[in-house]
Amino acid sequence: MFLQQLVNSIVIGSVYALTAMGATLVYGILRVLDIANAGAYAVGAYIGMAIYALTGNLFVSLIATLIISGAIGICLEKFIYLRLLDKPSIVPLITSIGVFIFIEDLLRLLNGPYAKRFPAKLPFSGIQLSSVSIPATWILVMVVTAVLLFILWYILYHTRIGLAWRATAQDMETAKAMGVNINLVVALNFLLGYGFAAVAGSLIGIMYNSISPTMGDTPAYKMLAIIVLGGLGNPVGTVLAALIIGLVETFLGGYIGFFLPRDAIAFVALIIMLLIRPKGLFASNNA
Amino acid sequence: MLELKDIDVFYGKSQALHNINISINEGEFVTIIGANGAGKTTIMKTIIGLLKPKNGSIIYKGEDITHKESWTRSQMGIGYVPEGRRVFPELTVEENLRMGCYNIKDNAKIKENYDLVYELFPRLKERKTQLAKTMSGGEQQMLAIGRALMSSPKLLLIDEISMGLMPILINASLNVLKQLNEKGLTILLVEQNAKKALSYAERGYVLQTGRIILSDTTESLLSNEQVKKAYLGG
Repeated sequence: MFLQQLVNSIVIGSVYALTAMGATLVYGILRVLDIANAGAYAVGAYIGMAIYALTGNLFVSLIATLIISGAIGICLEKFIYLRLLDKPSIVPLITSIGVFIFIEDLLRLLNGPYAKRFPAKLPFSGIQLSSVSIPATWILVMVVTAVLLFILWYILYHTRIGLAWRATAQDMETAKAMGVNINLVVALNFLLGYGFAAVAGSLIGIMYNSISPTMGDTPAYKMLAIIVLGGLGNPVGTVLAALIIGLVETFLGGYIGFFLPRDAIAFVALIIMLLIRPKGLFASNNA
Repeated sequence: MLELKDIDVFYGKSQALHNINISINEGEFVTIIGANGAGKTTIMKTIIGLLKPKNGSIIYKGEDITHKESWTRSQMGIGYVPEGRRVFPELTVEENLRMGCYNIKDNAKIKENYDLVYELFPRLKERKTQLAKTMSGGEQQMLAIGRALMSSPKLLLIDEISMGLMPILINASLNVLKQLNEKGLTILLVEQNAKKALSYAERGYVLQTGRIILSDTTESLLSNEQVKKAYLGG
């Protein structure tokens, strides 16, 4: 039972990490809380389903989801966010909420308000180890998340553009003066940020075999709790915070779920943490 | 090498620089002195492209760079030591230096520049794996200068080398600049510590509330009554 719960929480935590990573990356560079990132989550689920229906190839549909949603992210950056950077930070925040609502309603208009199925055939089967059973979709979620987070970690800590990302997050003006083309860094940021959230949406769609225009609602709120817990703009902190929320939800949800809905637990954790450690569990000094 | 022609810079509606004309020849060591708030940092940010002038033009090596982005100016050989050092706090010393030569692709050249900087500041070599934020003010100043030198600049802009440094370190830093200048690096130093700046540079400008009010050799400026009174403490 304990092991089963542990696996559950890792799966949930993985999806949270992937979803919140986009907002973390955007906050890291632009200091904007990008709620619209959770819009990419729903968009990704629909794009993933459409391409899967078209090609029948899960791998191709996940890659295409990442790229197409990433491209949408870059468009939002170029046409909206970059123009608002010199405004008080409340302006891009409200704009991003507006973009989020727009995305949800656009999906509703295009696909109808009802949930649709996302029946994906996985090329492998689940695992049954004595008392622990891991369905194939869970394995998919964990493997894809691990691969994407590894790629992100590699880019951030072992490439030239990753070094530029970290420098820009710490001091954009100085990074510019050192020769960093900020436009490229910010574009990469939105490509990965929106791409990751979109893949997370696709994975959840596959896992529950259900997608709907409003599927990004809960992740949008929860994403906020996670990125604050993770120290705002700190990618490593975000992954840890996501796993912690996954664990707490799964284990506490098992015991007190009868009077406190599972989705509320992340916020109870957030409130307690803000009271004790307002900068987040894994705050870096420059965030 | 560098020429500022009739530069006006505004912050919103308030004008920070009025009709600035400055020219620097190759190989020179020039300083701009002025009180706090006179507009020294504004001039530097305008030259590196972090601020855009409303009027006027900036010519670097015969090319108009007024509308070029900061990163392009950096690639063209303008090195920059910002006010308050602005090292990247969460990067190691080595990573900070790597940021300095961000646009150099040739690994041999990068290695050569690391060696050059480490030779100039052995302290940085000892601390290369340390995070920049854990270093003292003097060490951070070395790092900021080292970072600017990593790009093999032709023109080095330095915004306040003396700020927050002990007198002995100010002299040491200025000696390093003198040394670099003798090897052919063109330097523009803006400085609140007028006495020090004027005794190391060859030529100087005096900036007062956004206007250049005097320009001359540092020798004449040092003996100028007005300068003595306002900037050299009598």
